[in-house]
Amino acid sequence: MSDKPLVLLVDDDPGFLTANSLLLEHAGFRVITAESGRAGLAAARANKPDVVVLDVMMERPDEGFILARAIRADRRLAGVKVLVVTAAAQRYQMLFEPDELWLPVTKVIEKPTAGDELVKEIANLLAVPQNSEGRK
Amino acid sequence: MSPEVIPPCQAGCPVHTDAGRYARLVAEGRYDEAFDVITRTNPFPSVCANICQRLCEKKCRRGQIDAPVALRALKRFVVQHVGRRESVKASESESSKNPDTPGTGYALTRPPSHAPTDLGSRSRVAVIGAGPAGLTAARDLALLGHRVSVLERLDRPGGMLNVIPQYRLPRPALDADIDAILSAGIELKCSCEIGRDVSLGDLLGSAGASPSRSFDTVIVATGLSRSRGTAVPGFGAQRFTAAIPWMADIWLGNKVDVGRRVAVIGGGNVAVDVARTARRLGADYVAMICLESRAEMPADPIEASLAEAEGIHILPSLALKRVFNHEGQIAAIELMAVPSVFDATGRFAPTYDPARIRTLKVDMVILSIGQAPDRSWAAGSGIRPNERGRIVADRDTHITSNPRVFLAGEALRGPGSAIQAVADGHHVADVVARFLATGQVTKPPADQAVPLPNFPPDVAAKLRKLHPVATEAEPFASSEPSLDEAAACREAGRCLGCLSGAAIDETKCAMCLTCYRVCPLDAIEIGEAMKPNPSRCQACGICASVCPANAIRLTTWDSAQSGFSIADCRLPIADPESQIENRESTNSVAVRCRHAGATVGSPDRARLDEPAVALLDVPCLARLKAIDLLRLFRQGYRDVSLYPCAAENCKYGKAWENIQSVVEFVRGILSRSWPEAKLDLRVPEGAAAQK
Repeated sequence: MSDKPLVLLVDDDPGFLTANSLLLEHAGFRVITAESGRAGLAAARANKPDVVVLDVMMERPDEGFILARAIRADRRLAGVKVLVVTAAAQRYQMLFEPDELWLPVTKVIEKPTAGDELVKEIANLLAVPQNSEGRK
Repeated sequence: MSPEVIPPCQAGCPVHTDAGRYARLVAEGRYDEAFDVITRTNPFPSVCANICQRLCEKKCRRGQIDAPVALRALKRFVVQHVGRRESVKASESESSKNPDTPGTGYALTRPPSHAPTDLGSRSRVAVIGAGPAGLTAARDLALLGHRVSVLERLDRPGGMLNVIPQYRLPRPALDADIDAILSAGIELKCSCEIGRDVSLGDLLGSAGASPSRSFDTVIVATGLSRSRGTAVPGFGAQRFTAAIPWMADIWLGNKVDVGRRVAVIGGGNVAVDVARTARRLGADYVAMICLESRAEMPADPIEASLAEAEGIHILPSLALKRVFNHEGQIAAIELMAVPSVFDATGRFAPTYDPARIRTLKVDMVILSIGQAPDRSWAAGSGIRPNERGRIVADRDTHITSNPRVFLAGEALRGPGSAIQAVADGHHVADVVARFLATGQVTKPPADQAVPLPNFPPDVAAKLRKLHPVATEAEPFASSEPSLDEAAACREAGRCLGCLSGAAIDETKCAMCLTCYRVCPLDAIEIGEAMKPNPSRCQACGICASVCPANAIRLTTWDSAQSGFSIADCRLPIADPESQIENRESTNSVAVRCRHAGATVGSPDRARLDEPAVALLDVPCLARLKAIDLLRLFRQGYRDVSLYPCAAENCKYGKAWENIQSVVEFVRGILSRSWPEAKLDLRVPEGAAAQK
């Protein structure tokens, strides 16, 4: 098995998946993708990625939130770091931050992400030891 | 050096407004001077007169006896009274041009009488954000002579003050304050967003930027302009929205959607504003759902009770658990019990009981669970957020990772009140002014003032007995009506004048213990010398009146100096000429109770200001003996008027009966000895019952 970290991208926008897969692979990550929350959960369980990057508004407006809670509820995925990349903040004019009750993720960033921002964020997440995540 | 002791109301106010002083000035009908006291440290007098969180009242020692002095209501009376008079003057002078010119009803803060300091080399300062912190900092620096530009993202200044509904903060009040601030020579540029219209680098004169447009320093006071969201199950239906965008649509004049049954999630002042606004927009049912218990709710109790009076249901100790949607519309919400919100150390750590649920049929959910800063101004500036995405700055010096960029207000301190933002605006202006003068970022000197302690319980109990009508419930608990002039003067007269008290001259004191024995509040302590305890003393003057060594004087409010000063309050009137305030040669003298200021009627107040009437302030008219009054007539006075305090202010119970009996006795003697002499006992305003 490769030593390269595995990243799962979950987004219903094929353009986002394609562009960011290329960027991440160029930066030295292995990448798999899924286009829905349900497919994303299955891919996470099958591949146990190091990081899941997920969108929120897919077929349902809260699909990413549901996926995030499902990943956190699955003990086999306890070590997986979850990064939410969403436009929901602009759409609903709300700021989302990780919280234990409804959004148990490692970090939330807002779309659009500029240049290599996603690569840097993932690298930063992987640099943080598992037991010192910035979750509230 | 021992720290300065200040009245607790003043200590409680983030900008140290001298509330006791303006209350005293109101009691004396000196409203312009009261306005000057209010604006000495607060450039938002009209805003705070309406929405201040009354931190001064929470510390007011009168609250230990019955209810705090209604200082915010007094402030509102002052700004409106002075403003109305200015409007009348303005309309009179403008009447030939436009007779219909309306006044705002709020007074404009006057710039300080001194001219701005000429700094020689003026610096250019940009302030990002025209809220209370940014505008306060801008005004302070402009008055120091710097050239200040304020850049505002919205189409108008005021920041989040704009979001406060008009019924709570009338637009003219906000406009009056902002107009006065900008008149200090501040340039305001609205609809200018940092990161979109101009970058922080441009402001700081980075490569490529025009030097004429660059600034020496930038203060960022962008506040908390974003509502926090929650990823609760069912998120995302139509009519699932947040407080700030919803309220912003109202003041921007956009079309606003409101449901028939509205759930407002949150228990703070913004949540109350949202709930009351939803009701005004036609919602039949509005519920406020908050984690805290009713007693722990962060909203101002007055605001919460006003909301309930308008039919809003407050549902405490509950959390949103789920939103039930039907075809994209909200149908109901499920709530779960919150057994506790804070842990043993007082930290916010809510616990939930998902088994205890409650379902509520609603068609709209408005989140008001907190606000967060918009950090887009920092994009591309080199100022990096921390790992949690937050811009950090030193809390003492406001400095960010860029040595010319300072962070202030809620963007630095987190959620707070408008007056706390004003205080932080002063603080950052102080730091920046020092930086511009010296090139060094230094921490301002720490605030050394300490509040006068609360009354000890026994003193509070005694004072309750001495104030006959002081047992009623807090008069402003459920609402805060505007005060008319008479009510304002009466309310101002309730101020106990903290820090007034006895002062003992150790060189004269014979340690006879007379003061110790007569003090009704046990305020005199025995040490190497007799020493008054300022937290107990009420400046009643009894000790001064009986001291055989004449060693005690009183520190009392002195209207001539608009402050506290040592005054001679000896009783009996042993030497009238030395005690009477010398004005002109006269045969009229007014003897006034020191506590009568608020209750002297308007005609009598005018008489007391006449130079032809000599004035003698005494601690208590009831303690005057017939011989004291007769000494005045023997001295040559032929027209003596007595001005007692009103019964509700009297500290000595049966004062009125004592005065009447002394007056009757003296009149009997006068009729035989000096038939032309006149002894008049005036009745305090609003005290007909005393007759």
